[in-house]
Amino acid sequence: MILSLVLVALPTHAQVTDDQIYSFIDDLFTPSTLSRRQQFDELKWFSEAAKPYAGMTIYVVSERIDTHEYEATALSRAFYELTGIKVIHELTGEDDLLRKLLAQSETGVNIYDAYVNDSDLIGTHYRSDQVVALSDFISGDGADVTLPTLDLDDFIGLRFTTAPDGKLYQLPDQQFANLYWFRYDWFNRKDLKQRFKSLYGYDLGVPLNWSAYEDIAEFFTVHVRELEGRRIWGHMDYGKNDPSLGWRISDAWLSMAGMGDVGLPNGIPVDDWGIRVEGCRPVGASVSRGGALDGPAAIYAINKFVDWFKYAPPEAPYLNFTEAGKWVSTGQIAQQIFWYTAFVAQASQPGLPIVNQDGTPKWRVAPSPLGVYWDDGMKSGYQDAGSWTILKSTPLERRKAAWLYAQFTVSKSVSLKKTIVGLTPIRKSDLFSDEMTRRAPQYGGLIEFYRSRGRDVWTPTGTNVPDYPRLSPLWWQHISKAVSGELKVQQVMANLASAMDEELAAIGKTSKSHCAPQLNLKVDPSIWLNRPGAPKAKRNERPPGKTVSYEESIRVWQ
Amino acid sequence: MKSPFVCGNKPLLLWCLVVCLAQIGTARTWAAGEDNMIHLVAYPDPPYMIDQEGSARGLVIDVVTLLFKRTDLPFNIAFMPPKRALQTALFSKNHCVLAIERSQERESQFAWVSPLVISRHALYKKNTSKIELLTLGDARRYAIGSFLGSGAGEYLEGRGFNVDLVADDDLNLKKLRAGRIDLWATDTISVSWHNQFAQQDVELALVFLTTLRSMGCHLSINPDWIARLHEELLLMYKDGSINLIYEKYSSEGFKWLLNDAGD
Repeated sequence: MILSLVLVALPTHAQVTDDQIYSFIDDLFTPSTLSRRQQFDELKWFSEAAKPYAGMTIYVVSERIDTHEYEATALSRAFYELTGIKVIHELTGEDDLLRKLLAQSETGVNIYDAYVNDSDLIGTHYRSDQVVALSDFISGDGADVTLPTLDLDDFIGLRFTTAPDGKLYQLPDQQFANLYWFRYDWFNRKDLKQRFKSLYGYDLGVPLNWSAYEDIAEFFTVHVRELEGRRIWGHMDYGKNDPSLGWRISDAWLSMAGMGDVGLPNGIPVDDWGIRVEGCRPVGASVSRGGALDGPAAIYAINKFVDWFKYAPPEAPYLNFTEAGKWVSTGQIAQQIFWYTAFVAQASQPGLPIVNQDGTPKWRVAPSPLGVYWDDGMKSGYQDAGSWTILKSTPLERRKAAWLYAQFTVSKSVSLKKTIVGLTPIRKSDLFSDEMTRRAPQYGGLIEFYRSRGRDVWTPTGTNVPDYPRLSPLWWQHISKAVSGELKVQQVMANLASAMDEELAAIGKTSKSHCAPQLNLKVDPSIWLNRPGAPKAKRNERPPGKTVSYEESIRVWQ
Repeated sequence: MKSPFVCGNKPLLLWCLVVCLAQIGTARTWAAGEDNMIHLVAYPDPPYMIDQEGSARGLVIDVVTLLFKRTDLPFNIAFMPPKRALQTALFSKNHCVLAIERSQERESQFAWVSPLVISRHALYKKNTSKIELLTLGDARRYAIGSFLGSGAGEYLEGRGFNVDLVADDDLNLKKLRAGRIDLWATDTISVSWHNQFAQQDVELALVFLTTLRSMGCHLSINPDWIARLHEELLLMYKDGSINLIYEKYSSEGFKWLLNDAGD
């Protein structure tokens, strides 16, 4: 016998008063790029537009980073008090989020009313016919619940969430990049500079190429060995057999080596996954089909990734992304080539060995050094853009309520404060605000990066990838064999490229999209390697190291 | 003298031949039966999987029974402790474990049919409690009871909440009533099961987590069968069959996903 339990009766939500709105502004949403009156008008709009949905409970999900913790605790509460819409904002890992999104798409069960999903899935979303095109929604069914002051032009990441059909499928909620991180104080020590110059023949500075990165790694790990009474290393990374190993590589490591083609945002026609497209159709990842995943540049990239563990703490190959992220704060790492700026807030905490007494960091972020296959005009690194995504299986009324919450979390009333908390900027107006200018010295170069054209050259996974959830596990399942030494790198990449092609073919068989994969016939790889562009023929993989000063390195972004 | 059991004389030879052929035929049938049977291993997890005096019942059991009926695939169900169930499916041909989390770590270890169960997990309180929760963060100051292996308890623990994990969820209800814990973390289907004899003294305070559980099959199973089962499962969601099953265990069918008085 099933007894019905008493469900909690929420207190009836009373319409928010103007005084209460001003209290929100003063207590929660200061600073802002809007005037107090403009904030009031925006928040008042939300309370009015949400009236038909007051009393509803909506379910949304995002990954677990500081920005979303802030949304799940502070913003969802404020939204409820403003509108009467209760938000269950769940936090989970990105792979779990993807599984739920896929389950909702396949079953039609409305598990969540909205997702904050990485724009890496743009290729999946626009082909699947399961995702609401927000640009259509804004001008159609969602017109009455679209914030008049949303100002889409103010978003820095809209290009990542717009598909080849010109439609906006996702709205960015948070963005972070993967940059080069280093100990600015150590790199400026006279004694270390002199010693490096005498050993390597050029100046210690921000490495421009992988040869310099390698020299600097060796310098700190092998020659310097100890600073401030502690063992130090010239490199940090992670290689645990775990999903985060996949992202370590697919978050543009191969493009940083120079594997793909020139052309933004991802390389045209061969992208940072080594997948070639013709028109909008993926035609292969293997070199024999015109892709680049098993070509010389990809092999070089993985060889370096595996080889450089010798310069990292011995635990590094056994750590995942979260575990490795804590190392930089210990004060024992001199540089890290692959570092997500989502960790900036953590690495800026007062009292850490990597933070000065005045609160400024001893470290900086700078453009990532690039491999020998990189050519001018290519993307330079990875940027994550966690973006609001609504599925067509969400009933219209719930879609509208979820859209209100989504817009609230990215509105100008809220966004500057949110950016200060999580350091994952999404709006130009926030980045160029006086408040950000004042705070920039605390963030080690993050604001300088985001104010520059660098934010357009570090990009997420793009539209060449037709089914991200299906293809992404291939990375860690194969690369792990290179890390463990079970297989040689060349074999690993051959296997990975072959597996990628098999999956592309399988996707092509069942997809109804006119942009579904259709594999090229296999030919002798040398035919493709001898043509201009990707896949690229072998180059000299150990040119002399080159460095620049930090100040020069960020001028590149201007 | 020739032994009567030596197949030297014709009648005996014929008899031997008949018996031998019969044995081979039987053996072939037996091997084919074993190869074609899918062995499902479940673990006690009421109301999802219940081993009642040799008879299997529960929400997950209802789902898979209907699923296999619709796909016309032969199966049987056995119960064992959770870890053994997982190991059995991992290492024994033609075995599948029921209702486990499909994590990326496990992704390549099994062939999957999913999602078998979608659960909402919530914090429950005594209806005399003054606790008000608007966000999960509001629960940080309270003692939360959950059970080991629920997923929800481990999730809360991983996020730094004050969680007391026990082996039996019934105990959590008792502890809640006795005031030894402030909140009980469990799923919205299970809570009815555990409270089935009682008292309207427990109420939902906040939903905080959704989980999916799936059937994980040994990689030896015919991939066409896996595909058939998966496709049929999706059809069962779309044609309302799964919803009807949920209605048996929660009065509102798929509205259990909404789980809010306001909807």
